[in-house]
Amino acid sequence: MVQIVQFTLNVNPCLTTSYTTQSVIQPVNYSLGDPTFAFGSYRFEQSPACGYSEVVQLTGLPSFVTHNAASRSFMLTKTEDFAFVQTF
Amino acid sequence: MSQISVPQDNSANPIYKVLRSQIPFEIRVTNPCLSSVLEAFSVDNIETSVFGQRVEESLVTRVPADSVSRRLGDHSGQTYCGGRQFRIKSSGHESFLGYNPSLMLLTLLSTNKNDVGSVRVTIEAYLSEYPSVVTSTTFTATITACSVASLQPTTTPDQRYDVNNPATTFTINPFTQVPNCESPVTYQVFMSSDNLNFSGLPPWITRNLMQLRVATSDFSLIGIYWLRVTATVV
Repeated sequence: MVQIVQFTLNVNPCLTTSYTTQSVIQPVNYSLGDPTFAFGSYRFEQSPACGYSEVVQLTGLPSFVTHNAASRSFMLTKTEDFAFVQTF
Repeated sequence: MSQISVPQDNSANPIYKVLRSQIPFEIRVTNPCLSSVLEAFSVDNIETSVFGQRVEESLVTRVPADSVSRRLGDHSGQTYCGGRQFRIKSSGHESFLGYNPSLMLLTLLSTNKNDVGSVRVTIEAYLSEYPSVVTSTTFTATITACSVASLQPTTTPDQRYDVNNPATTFTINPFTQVPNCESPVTYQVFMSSDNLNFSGLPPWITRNLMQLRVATSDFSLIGIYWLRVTATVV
């Protein structure tokens, strides 16, 4: 005699409930003519860590500062241009 | 700002929502010229006399470089932080010491005997666009007493006297001092009958300061005489 038990397996999407960051990027003080340097490593956390792909948007970044998406940090390139004397 | 798109529920066809998080930060860019350091410079001592020549000293070649302009821009030390200028900081010498900013020219000229003496002058160089960036030096400005460089004779016209006539008087014109120090001048008058050998005035010509009086009844004196006036600055 053969008995069959049948059941279902539901594969559901991972439910990330919070998306936060503990990273703090300290204010960058740059004097015109100083050498190029990297700064501002950051990280965002998903909880639970479902690994959804992030879309990073940057606003107000001056042209002499570039964002490195791969390393999640920034590069400030040496400039001597007085037009940049301000707070961004 | 970073965002992720996540399902709201476990259904097979979930509705997605967007979760966002952000990290604000500041980039403060400062102007290094505000804290630049001007190099030392020097100004030569300057001297003239009362009523003497105007003495000028150009500071164009004395313009100091600054530390930031040495490091940035064309590295000349003169350009990145812009123009620079001088200003006199000490006082009490305005009547005879001047400075022309457009020409960067110091001038010393005195027309007052009370200016005689030496003063220590403090002069600052500063970045025109950053006036708080300053360096200074001192130099001495000296005014000496007026000194007559030359005495210019003033022509006295030829005179005529007829013997046995009333006395005639005429005035010797004073000499001109260059510069006009108004110094005392002594005059001596000599006479010659041959325009070669001069000696003191004869009794028939008398002198009172700058005035000469001629009177005689001696017909033997008829002739031509040359009078020579010598002036000496005391």
